[in-house]
Amino acid sequence: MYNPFAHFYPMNPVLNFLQSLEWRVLFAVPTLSVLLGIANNLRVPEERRVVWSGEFQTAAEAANANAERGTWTTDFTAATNAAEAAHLPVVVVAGYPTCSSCMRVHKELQSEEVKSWQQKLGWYFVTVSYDDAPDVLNFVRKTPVPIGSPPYAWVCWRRADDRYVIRNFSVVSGEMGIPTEPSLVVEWMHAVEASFPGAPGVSFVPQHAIGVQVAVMAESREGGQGRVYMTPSVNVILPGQKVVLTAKPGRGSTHVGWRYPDGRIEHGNLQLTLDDQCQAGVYRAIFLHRNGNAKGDTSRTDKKEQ
Amino acid sequence: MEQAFLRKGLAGLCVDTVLRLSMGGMFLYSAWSKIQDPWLFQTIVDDYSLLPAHLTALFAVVMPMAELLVGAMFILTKWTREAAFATTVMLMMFFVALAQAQVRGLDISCGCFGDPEEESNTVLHALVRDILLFAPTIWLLVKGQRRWIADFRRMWYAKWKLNVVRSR
Repeated sequence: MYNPFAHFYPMNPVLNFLQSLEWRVLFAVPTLSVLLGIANNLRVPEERRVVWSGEFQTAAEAANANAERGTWTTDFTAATNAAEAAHLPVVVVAGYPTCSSCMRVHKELQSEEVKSWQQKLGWYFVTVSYDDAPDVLNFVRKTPVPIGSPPYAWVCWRRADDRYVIRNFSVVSGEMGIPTEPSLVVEWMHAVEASFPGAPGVSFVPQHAIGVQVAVMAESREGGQGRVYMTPSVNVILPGQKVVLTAKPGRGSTHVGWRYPDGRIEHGNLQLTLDDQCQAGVYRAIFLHRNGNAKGDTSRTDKKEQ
Repeated sequence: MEQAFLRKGLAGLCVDTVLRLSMGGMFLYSAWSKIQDPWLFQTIVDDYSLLPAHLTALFAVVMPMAELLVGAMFILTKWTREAAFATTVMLMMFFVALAQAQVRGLDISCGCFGDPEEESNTVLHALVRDILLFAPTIWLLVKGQRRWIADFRRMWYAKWKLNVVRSR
């Protein structure tokens, strides 16, 4: 049979090269990959399997349901109880499953080295698993901007003289106080320090509360790009402690939770809007979710504080 | 003349063997860590915000197995150039994913070897590594031969034949 391309082959090294490949083998690779991949996905335990076809969002909701069953509450109730018993402030760090940096933070904070200086500093440290922050996951997934998470965590503790110390924990170096993104960190550090008691800032007082901030997000205005920085950190509030939250100018959100004396626990996203000077005048606190319910605003609070 | 030819052939074979072992080993290691936890790999792929959810799932299922097969092809089969061709395609895909993450400023772990906990490399590091990996891949694609790994028998045979010819 006449092959119109035949006389081109010797002239074209690319065609020559392609012709020399064993195409049956090349086609077998994707075919076998699909078959083996599906088989492997069925082999692994159910919680390790891939979630198909748009159900990924639903997976987060499933995590929410999990939280309602008590996974979430049990963890941080136990943590705060233990801290109270030890008369130490608590730092709780949480991440969310798709936040790689959070996972690194989580791992780093469990290292022996970190534990050793936790003891030196005299603060009680708790990490909760990624799945314990389902609302954060939901919130992030609904945020229509690229998500980024810097490789450090903010940690905060209260010293014996009642002064607060806030440091960024570098995941990369495993040391305290080394900013990995200098401009961002310095700006945050300034904002957070400036907002503590005695300084202007946004405050939020949970009622009858032991509160735990689980994550802080802020939208940067740098370059006009909306980017969410999530610090999978955070600090903790002792019973009745006034919580001061702040963010760099722009919008921010934090996940807070607290426990009532009767043991009930509430948590939700507190959304903040600050002006350029981080003044407290412009802000709204909106509880997007309560008690793990991710759908709809179940309650809304608008307040101003000078 | 013949000896120079033999030396060149031997050097090529050594390079071929080393590159196939290292590329194959790397792909096998990379695949193994992802195969253990497809869901984790799906979350990593999802971090790149590049594919819709259902394609993310498919990618997370297929890609580790493709890496496994390519790794095995490099080491256990004669199809060096086919493996190199598949590797080139995969490296191009990784390049696109990493480059768009870098351009968009996504601060995520590469996830190239599965568990991001084990990695401290940034996307930029991964991007540079990806580009560097093109060099051995292209070498194997162009110079690779269809023979078993570390197949020195031909060299021994050629040397033996040369000695026989000389002795006559």
